[in-house]
Amino acid sequence: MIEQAVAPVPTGAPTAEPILRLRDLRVTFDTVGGPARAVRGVSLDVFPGEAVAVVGESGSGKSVTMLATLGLLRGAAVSGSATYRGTELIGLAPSRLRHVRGAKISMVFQDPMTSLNPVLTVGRQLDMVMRAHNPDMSKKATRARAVDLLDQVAIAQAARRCDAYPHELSGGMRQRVMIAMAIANEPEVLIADEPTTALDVTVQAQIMDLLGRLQRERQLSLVLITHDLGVVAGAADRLAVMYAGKLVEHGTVPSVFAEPGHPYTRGLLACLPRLDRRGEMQAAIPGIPPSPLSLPPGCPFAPRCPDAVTACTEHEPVLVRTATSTIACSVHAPAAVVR
Amino acid sequence: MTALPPIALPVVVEPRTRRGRGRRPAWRRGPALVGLVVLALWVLVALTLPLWTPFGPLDPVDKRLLSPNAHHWLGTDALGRDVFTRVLWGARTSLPVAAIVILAAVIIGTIIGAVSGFFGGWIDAVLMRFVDITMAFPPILLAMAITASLGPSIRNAVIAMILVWWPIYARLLRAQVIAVRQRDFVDSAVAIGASRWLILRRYVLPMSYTPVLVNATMDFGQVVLLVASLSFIGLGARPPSPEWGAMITEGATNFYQWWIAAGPGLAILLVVLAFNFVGDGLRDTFDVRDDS
Repeated sequence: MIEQAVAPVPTGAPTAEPILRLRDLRVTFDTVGGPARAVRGVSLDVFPGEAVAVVGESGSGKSVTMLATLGLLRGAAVSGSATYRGTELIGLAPSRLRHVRGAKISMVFQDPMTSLNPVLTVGRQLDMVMRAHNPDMSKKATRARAVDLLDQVAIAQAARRCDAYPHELSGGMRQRVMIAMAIANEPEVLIADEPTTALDVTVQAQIMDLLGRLQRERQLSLVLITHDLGVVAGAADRLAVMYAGKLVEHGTVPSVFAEPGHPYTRGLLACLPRLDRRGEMQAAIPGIPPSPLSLPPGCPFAPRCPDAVTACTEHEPVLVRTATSTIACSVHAPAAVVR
Repeated sequence: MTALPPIALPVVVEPRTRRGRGRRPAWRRGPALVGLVVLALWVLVALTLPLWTPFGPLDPVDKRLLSPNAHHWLGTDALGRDVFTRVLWGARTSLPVAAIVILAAVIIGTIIGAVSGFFGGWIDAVLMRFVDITMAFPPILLAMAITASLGPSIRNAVIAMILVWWPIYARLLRAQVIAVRQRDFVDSAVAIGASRWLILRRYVLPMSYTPVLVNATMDFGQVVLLVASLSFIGLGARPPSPEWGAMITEGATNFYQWWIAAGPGLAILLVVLAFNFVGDGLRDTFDVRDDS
């Protein structure tokens, strides 16, 4: 039942070459309190056309991992490897990295209220995004495409909205504009960093529908960073759970949801409100995540873990393949060979 | 049964909305409007003066040291020139000089400040130390030293004032750029592949410019004052040219003919005050903290 996992090969993912391949990615911030190890060796593959959800609490390193991949962190020490179609992104010259950002790998941020330039119209911003990668495009061409893009992200009266300033649009519409900007250059990978956190619930569903539709229609690889497992259930093929800067579990969404291997994943799933269990007290994981400045010895989840044994605090578990997923837990998936 | 005293109801006064509908922006009302009108008049005078003035600024037109009268509103000076005419002519020096100095200082300060704030690192350190050194001297002292070493003339005074003035804007813009650079929309522009130059030009600078604009307006008055000061101590405009500072120097030698110095002094006062009013108004208009 238990096998040694060498690399996190996804169960049930397309058997193509990964489009984005992270290997032992580490990010350390130098803070006044000492080095904060935000990401401590993350390996993850993203295959063409699939939707991967990266899940974790605030500070688990999920956003930082993806920001580091695109070289968007200032003042952080990044090591390890992140390749896009074989091109190493970590340490890539800024001038070359610029041609990856937005054109090959795009990103949608959390807060659409502050992520748009307040002094330029929507159309002008779309124009700049397109011309950042295709300087030869005419104003007329970018304008036509801007209207088309706004149409694709389901903004009504796209031609009129094109001349609107961000403050004239609602939060949901602004996030649609952000998505339009992100897909303007036909990227292969779209990273959505908590794209619905700042929106209200009905708009959240619309934005997730839109992302799902775009992903299917364009065969995009979608990396969805979220702390909302409810969002993951409907939108992602695979799931990667992060805790204290490491992956603790990954596998396909159906199998992880049906049989979560890691106690942390179980805890997260138990926290989901369920319609079939009304009236019960909402479950919660006791305690708070450890500070990246002072991680406990052994498994970082051990202090909060209901299943923890003495061995948990002695050495940190490695990722091990189980029947349903891949988990890092000494109790539920003890490593056969210590690597 | 005694009649109840009338109850004193609190009078509810509708609070005047600071930014009610149709309310003019701060720079077009109150003192700012006065300042704007005064400045407009000065500019008009400076532009059209040669067309209607009955006297030349350098011509002796009457007896020497006449006190103000119906013919010569501010009297005549030691060489018999009409003081009022010369005061008006002074605007043709002070206003363009202030404009050139401010414009050049803003341009240089913008470039240096933007580069410094946006790129940071050692570029920032080097440029800002240079700014520190310049700003360590009182502006008038440094301007005096530079003008004196270049040789006294209005052109050299302009050069000196530009050199003294740009660090203010560089410092100001740098601080803004650093603040704006950390806003979300800049990060999202980076993530979408915009080049650094594009981000600086279209994302950061337009959002950083307000304090520079306000300060530049206020500094107009300061530069008018500074050029007058330099001329007053003989480092700017030389006699006989009709420059306010130089005229005050001439007035100072004729102590009992107060009008010779009071005329140009009044002109400086009007212009500086007007620029300050307009600058205050602009600041109130742009100040985001103001809209409660």
